[in-house]
Amino acid sequence: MAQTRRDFLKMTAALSAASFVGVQLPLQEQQLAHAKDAEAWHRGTCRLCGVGCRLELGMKDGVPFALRGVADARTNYGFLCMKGMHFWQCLGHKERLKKPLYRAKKSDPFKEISWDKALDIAASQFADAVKKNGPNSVAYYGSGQCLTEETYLFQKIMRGGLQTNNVDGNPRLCMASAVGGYLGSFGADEPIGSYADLEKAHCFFIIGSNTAEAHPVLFRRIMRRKLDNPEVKVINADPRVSQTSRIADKHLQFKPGTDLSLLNAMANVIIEEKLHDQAFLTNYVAFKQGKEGQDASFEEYAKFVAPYTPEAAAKTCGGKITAEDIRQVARWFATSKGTMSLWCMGINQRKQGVWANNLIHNLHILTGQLLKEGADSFSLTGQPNACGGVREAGGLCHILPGHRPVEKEKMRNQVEEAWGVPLGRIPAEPGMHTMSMFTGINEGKIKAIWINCTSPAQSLPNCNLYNKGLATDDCFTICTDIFKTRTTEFANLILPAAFHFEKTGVYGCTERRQQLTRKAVKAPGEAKPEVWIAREWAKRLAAKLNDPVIAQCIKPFEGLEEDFALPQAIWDEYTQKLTKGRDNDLRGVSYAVLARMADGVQWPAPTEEFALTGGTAKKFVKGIDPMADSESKNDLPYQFYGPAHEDRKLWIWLRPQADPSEIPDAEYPFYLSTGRIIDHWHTMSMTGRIPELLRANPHAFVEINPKDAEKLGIKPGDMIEITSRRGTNVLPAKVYEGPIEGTVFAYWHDQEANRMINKVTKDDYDPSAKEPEFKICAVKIKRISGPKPLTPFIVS
Amino acid sequence: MPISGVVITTRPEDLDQTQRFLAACVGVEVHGADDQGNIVAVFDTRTTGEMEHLLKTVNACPLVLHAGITYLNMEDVVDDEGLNSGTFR
Amino acid sequence: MKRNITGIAHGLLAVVLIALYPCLVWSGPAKSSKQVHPELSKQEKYIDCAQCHTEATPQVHQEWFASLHGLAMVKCYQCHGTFETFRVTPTRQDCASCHENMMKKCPQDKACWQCHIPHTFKTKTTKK
Repeated sequence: MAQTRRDFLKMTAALSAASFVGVQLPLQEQQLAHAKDAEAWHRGTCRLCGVGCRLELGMKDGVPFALRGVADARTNYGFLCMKGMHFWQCLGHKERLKKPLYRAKKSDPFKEISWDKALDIAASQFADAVKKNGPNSVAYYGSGQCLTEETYLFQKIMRGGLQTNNVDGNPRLCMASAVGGYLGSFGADEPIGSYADLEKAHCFFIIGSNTAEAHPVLFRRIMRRKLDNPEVKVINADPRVSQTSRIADKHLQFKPGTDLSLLNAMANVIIEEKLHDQAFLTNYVAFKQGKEGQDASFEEYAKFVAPYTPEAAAKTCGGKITAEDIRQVARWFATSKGTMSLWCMGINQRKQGVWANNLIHNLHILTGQLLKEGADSFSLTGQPNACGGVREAGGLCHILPGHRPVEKEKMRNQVEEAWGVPLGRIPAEPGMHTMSMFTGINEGKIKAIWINCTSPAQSLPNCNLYNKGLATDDCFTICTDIFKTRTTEFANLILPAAFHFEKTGVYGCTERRQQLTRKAVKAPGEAKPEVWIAREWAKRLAAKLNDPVIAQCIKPFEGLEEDFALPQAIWDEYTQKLTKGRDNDLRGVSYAVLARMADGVQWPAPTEEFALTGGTAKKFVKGIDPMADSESKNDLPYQFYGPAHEDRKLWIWLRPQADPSEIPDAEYPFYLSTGRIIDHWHTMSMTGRIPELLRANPHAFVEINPKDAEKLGIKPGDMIEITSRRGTNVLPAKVYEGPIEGTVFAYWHDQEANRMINKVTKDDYDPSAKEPEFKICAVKIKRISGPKPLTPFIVS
Repeated sequence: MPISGVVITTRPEDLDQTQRFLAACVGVEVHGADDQGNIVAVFDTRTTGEMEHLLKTVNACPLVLHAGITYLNMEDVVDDEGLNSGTFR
Repeated sequence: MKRNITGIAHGLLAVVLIALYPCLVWSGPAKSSKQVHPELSKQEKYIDCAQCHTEATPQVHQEWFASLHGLAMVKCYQCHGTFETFRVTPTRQDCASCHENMMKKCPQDKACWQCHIPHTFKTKTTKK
């Protein structure tokens, strides 16, 4: 490298400064010349939340120092939230797990062991359990933060190798109701539209989502749209007034669990005032009712919603909204040039989660607010790869890769053929879903579990109950993670994993967009990418169980270098062999295409030529979605080719108001709801280790309406005991006009034993989606003292 | 286009964090450090105004006990538009 | 090599000399010449910036709250850092985390705050 005159001057400057304090500079001329060029920015996506912001990791002399947004990115237009700005501090953090840790008994201290020994133990434990108690005595519990390649490889080894469908993941706790809703209403999982609709929408219906804090960068886009176009209407429906409400034209504050009434009442107004789209209904829509989905008609539907008058619903909702409010928002919704609904955990984490999803979709189908610019029924995702990895690549117990239901023999056979394993190898029965998996541990049915990149000991509802099972030595527990968590406290074996930017792979965000992040930094210590861990583990499993089929599962990946070639080979197998002709056709989305397409590609994208255009911004529309053309059965412009509806129609469901699992009574008079705050993410194992983020919210609060606080003599900062039938927390009070009267609201990130709110939440779940009702339970609250200084707590 | 050699002093226990802070400053190149908390850096800015501002910014960082210039080179000034137009007078 | 040091640079030279001075005689951690944040205990550092500044600098807080940054929840520490990395005047790099494109579009010879008024972020209109 030629040394320029400026480099020479810089060297002179450096040497002068060094001689001043007597520092020995390690560098010579070449290094000095190099230093000028040493600042490098590496492309990737954000590690936190499901928005999928594109960003760049800044490195100087091989050390990460910053993250910045990329201005032309279609997801975030250059903007990042504080979590996206700061997560680089997890790379090389001093508390990172660097060596495998093992203890035979959970009461023993951990000892550092070699990878060789660790993988041997992991394989022995799973092999022994399978031999003694059958394949269903082992389980894999994954995460919406794993790369697609990781989820895919683990489920392949579990299903094709060990012959169990006990593969589930934490998206069960957040997305399962949305999956059920999309399949039930549209016949196909995941949103039809894209973020691009945000800038075209004329009405936003935000329900059960505090977008401003849970998805800040998307909120910014909505905010911009509203500020630039004041005539755009923003409706925010939520039991809690939040930051999101600041841009709302109308906030509908309802009693927790009464939103099904509200949604049916909006449908009632739309039909009553003839605001529905009759042509759309005639061409594309069927009506369904009951558990089995018996046929119904428009007339029956109209009759069904008739009792949900705005007056009746306003009363059910708790008196904070008027009948006229409901009429008004129904009119805005139906008559705008494009209405976009956005929801998140307030709708999904419910006993009636699927129904609530169906009822939102109903409004869009009824009014034809779908498939056109600025109109969509758009579920927000909380994790960066819940969609791409877990929903699409086989990460749930009942779904095989490529949105294939496991109970269908034809679907299983397609997968078995692709893998080159004997037909019938994959069991027909769906495996244990999350809640039954951890119940299974309590009951001694699961003898070995692999928990990858998630912390159920803190994130399961009613976690005290499930931690009892995790604490026993009856279930051998393996955790792969980057930091210690509440769950690694119950582990026998902790395997140190590589973090984002320390390994290569694909994330698929909320809008079906697949983006590649390549390795830019070496993982600390002996931390390894999970794809390597899974492959090496499977190799040993094959030997211990003397099963060539297990070896066959990893044969295509043998000997490949783990930082690029291995994840690429896994991605190629999944996309080329298992997405052909499926609604998430990814055959055009090769690593080569992803390398060229900075913004990634939205599926379906059956060919590379099409993928290089960016993919499908709107599903089911001829001329935009290539599958709408290739799967077309008639002359209509929209083709609903999704796997779940054989009649190729959208379904409006007749779903009644139904109560949550637990409602307040004399003993437990308050509703409890939980949620996220902007500075922290999930169980704060990452964000809690970043000083900027930790200090912004060092501990959780419980929010109390001022009227309730006055009645109970609670002042801001007072310590409150909050108790349900399952557990107790002690939290400081934030007295604030947020939650509706009779409801308290707590943040769920805190790891401190007395502030883990999931000790209090209820573990009842949606009967079809099996997603628990985190959002609603009954509690009593009691002031126990004045304000106390609280310190943050992170498991170390 | 001034270039300066700078010694930045920090507490030894703050050395890592200070280096991270410096890495985030545009125009700062860290060239070395010792275990006493001395960091040797080069500041490279477009104008003298920027140089002054950068020195102030670094000095304002609570981690930094002191930052001082030991060497300053000021060539190419005649080519500097800002200075020619008198913006920085 | 140093022939071009002109009168314009004299001011800077003075800064250099003043800056050098304490380096030569420095003997303790005091930073008396700087405007410093009140010393806080470890516990006090767990109070969110905005919580104190609502009272300590109510106008700044109000300006921020009503600004686009306030609406979008871009918080104090995102520009000013936390205690160890605190800077009264954010650097260009701080702005670049989200506004990288503006680093090229905006005038190169000005700090961001010279055109975008701190905390309200309204743009000063330049006369033609």
